[in-house]
Amino acid sequence: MSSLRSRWRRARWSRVWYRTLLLTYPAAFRREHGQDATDVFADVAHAEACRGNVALLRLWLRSVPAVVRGGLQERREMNRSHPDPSGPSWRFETMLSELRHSLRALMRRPGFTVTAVLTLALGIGATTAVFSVVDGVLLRPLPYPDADRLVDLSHSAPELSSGDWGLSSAGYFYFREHADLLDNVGVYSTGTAVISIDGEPERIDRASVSASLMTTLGVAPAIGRPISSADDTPGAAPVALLSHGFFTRAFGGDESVVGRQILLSGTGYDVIGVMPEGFGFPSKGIDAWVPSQLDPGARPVNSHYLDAVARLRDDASAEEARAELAALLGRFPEEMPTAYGGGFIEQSGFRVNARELLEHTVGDTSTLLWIVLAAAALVLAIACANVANLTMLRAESRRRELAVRGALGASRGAVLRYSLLESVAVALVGCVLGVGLAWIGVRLLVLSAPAGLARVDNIALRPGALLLALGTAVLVSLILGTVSAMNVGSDLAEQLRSSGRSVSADRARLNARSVFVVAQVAIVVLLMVGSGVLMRSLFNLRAVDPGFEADNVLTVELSISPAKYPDSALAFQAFEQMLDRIRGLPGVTAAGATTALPLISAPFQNANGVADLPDGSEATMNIDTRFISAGYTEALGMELIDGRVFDRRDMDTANPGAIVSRSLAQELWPGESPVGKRVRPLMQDYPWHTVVGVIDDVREENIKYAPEPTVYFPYTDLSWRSFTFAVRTEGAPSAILPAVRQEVWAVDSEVPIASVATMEELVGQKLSGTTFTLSLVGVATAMALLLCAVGLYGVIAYSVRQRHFEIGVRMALGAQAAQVGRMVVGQTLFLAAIGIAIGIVLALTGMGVLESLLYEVTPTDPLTLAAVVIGLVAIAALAGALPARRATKVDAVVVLQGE
Amino acid sequence: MTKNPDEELSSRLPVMPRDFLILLALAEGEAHGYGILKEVEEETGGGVTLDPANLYRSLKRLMKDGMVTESDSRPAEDLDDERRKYYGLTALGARVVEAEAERLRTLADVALARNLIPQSRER
Repeated sequence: MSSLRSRWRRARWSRVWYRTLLLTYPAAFRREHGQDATDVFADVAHAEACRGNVALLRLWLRSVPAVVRGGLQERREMNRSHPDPSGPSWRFETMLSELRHSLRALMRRPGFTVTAVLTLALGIGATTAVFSVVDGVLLRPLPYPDADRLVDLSHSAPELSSGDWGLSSAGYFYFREHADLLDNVGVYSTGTAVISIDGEPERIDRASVSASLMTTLGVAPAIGRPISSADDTPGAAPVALLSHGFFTRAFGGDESVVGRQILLSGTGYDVIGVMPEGFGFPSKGIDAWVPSQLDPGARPVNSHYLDAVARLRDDASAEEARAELAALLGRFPEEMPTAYGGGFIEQSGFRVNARELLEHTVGDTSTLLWIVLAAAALVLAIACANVANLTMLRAESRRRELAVRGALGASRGAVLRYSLLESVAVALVGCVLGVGLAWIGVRLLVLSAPAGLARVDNIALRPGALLLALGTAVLVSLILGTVSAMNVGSDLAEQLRSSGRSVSADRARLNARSVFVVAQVAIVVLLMVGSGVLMRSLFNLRAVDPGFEADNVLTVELSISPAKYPDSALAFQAFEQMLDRIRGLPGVTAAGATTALPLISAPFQNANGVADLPDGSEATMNIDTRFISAGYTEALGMELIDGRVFDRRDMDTANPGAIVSRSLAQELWPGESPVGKRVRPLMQDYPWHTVVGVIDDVREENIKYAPEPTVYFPYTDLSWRSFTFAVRTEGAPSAILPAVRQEVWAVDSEVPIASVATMEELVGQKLSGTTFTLSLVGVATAMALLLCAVGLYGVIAYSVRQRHFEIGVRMALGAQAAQVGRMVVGQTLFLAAIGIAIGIVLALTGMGVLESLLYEVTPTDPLTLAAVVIGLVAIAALAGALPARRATKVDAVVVLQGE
Repeated sequence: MTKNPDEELSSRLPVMPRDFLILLALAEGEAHGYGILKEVEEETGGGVTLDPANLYRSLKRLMKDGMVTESDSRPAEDLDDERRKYYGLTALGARVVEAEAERLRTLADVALARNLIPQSRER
């Protein structure tokens, strides 16, 4: 059935194909026999289609020369019987010869052709490549059914911290039960686990998910069964879903693994299924999904670590859902007093957000990509202006030729067509080359994309982008065609007269070209200001003191097996041994462990108890919390400003220590030393921790944001088996890695070492978003600047050529070479000045879009504007200097004699 | 200005190879465009596949020259296809096929007599 339908479809295309080919025949023939011939062809095509696609394709291709030859012969025969020069057949043949002529003319002037084609290819290539990225990352829906119904749920508490918070376990259950406008809600959190594959310990990324997560997304396992709600009950036997990649990598794609038990960090998990290829939520790197087994009956606590995704009911908008969630949030204090009582919501500005999942996934990159696309489009605009200019110059140098053709009887239409065909040829070749460049560009963009750019694997050169390239080419041909048309005057005699020697350049035409040059300069100003402020922003960011020293620090992630170290004390004994051995290495000055490196991993937003407040009271507060070992603050080079740093004593779980940041100390105990005060994490029944020291503020979350008040607890508070080690070295940090590895394995040879990086690399990656934008906008600016300089030079050089006679007369009348040179440069600067003025106005109004990417520099930074103006004036002067030099070499005698 | 039949016939000769193939096909009986195409393919053992537009160019010329006519008669109803035009030979067309075939045979005989046609291909 389906093959019948597809054959029918191909037959339909055969008709379209053949009818198009028949256009080579005269209209009269088509009227009389076109339908019959097409019917017959469709029959033949149907017969061929039964023999397969290749046979059909061969028929299609075979018919091209046959039909075209027949059509041309038919036209010739018709002309012989009805010689009508204005008839349609005459025009067709003429057009072919005109096309040949145009191509030959283009070949004869490779300078013009190559420049125009390359310029266009650059513009089209850049735009197409960047559009492909925008399309893949921002425009394509996420790979889930009805993905536009998915929203990301989160909280924020602007009075407490700048970042987004997850849902609390109690909040999740409450929303899931009471939000009518949400079809379903799923939650997840990510972490790591250790698995032994072929005896080698490997660290894998896993996500703990609610059973509802996969149903919310609308995704089912490719093999096996999904996580059921029974699996997701506290105390149920642990099960795991594997990612397709992990299934292939670790188990060779052997389906018998489903039903077997695997050991993840020492706990046995039954493998119940494998997710489809390409599925990765929340990120591609997740290897396994396990049920989070949250307890709906647990005492609600103010701990927000669950990421959440919800599916909107079909008839509900995100706006309505937000309103409903906000109303539900208002009931939190009475429903969950243990977590949200005591005015917490009012004091923290606590609220709930529902953002489209795509928007959430893409995040800040959205602005960044649109800016890069705008930059590419501006380059394309400059490229078009440039080619238009080139075409005009060329058309003008041939005005005489065209006028002669006109005088010899070529109709105005024929002359126009002749120029238009050239433009079309240039634009199409430029388009093809541009698509080639885009193909390379897309690959380069993907390779250089900043770490964490979402959906990078979704970027490809798609038909949409190709259509865009083709559309651009068509548009360009139209522009160029119009430009050419402007050069074909109506009065031939007038043209013949004026296209010879002229005393002054034709003002109207020079002005048209000046307009293009002015527009180019204005666009370049826009691009230069954009990349200028981005550059300043990057310098500012790099100059920020984050509160730690990133150089000479090696970081590695270590995970030990809970099965091997069932007791926390044993585990920490092993970690301490490893750290001690590393500290003993030559060239190592300090080493310590942490749960979360500054800038790289988010801190816990923990409810903490605080005692000994100035009025003697105790309080519960949400404070950024990090867990560290002794030696960590030294390894990261954090500055101690009061008391002492952690040592082994503070790791004692019976009598633990704590360190607070300067701003936390000021907030809690203004004017007094916090040393000796008490704080504690409230996740479990921890004893009070005694503050032993104060360190200077560290920009833990984001280098752009002011440091958050932070408390540091001993890492022994946690029952984790996975920490990041930071090792400060005297020399290059990466050189010490083999020695570090050896010391770790001397303690336990089964410990996997993962995520090896220097702190400098990690911080660099954090800035990579800005660096990426800057480098792309920078490249765009450089291209635009080059094209613009060429454009300026072209116009001035041409006008100097046109004014040879005038200059000759001036020099004969006693003008000095220097005066003539000044005149030419002055003309260039005049054009540039108009462009700069317009560009500055545009920049002042339009640069606001960059605001969110900038750090401590305004989008209309005066210093940048000044630098751009000076730079452009210099370039304009340079572009004018060459023609000016030529102008001063004009020999008055020769010129005047020539006239 | 009417020509006598012999004169009219000889002015049509020789017939262009493609036209001759079409006339031969129609000599078998009336046919529509696709039928002629298939018949020609058979006549030449699949060696010649006419392009439909070129077929109609030939038909148009042959009709103008009075050798082919669009036929009013239709084949049996169940074989008929409403949209198709059928073509047939005129009396002149039939005589032209005959004369051209005769002319070709004479030429072929000459070639045969001079041993220009290999024995294996002799029928």
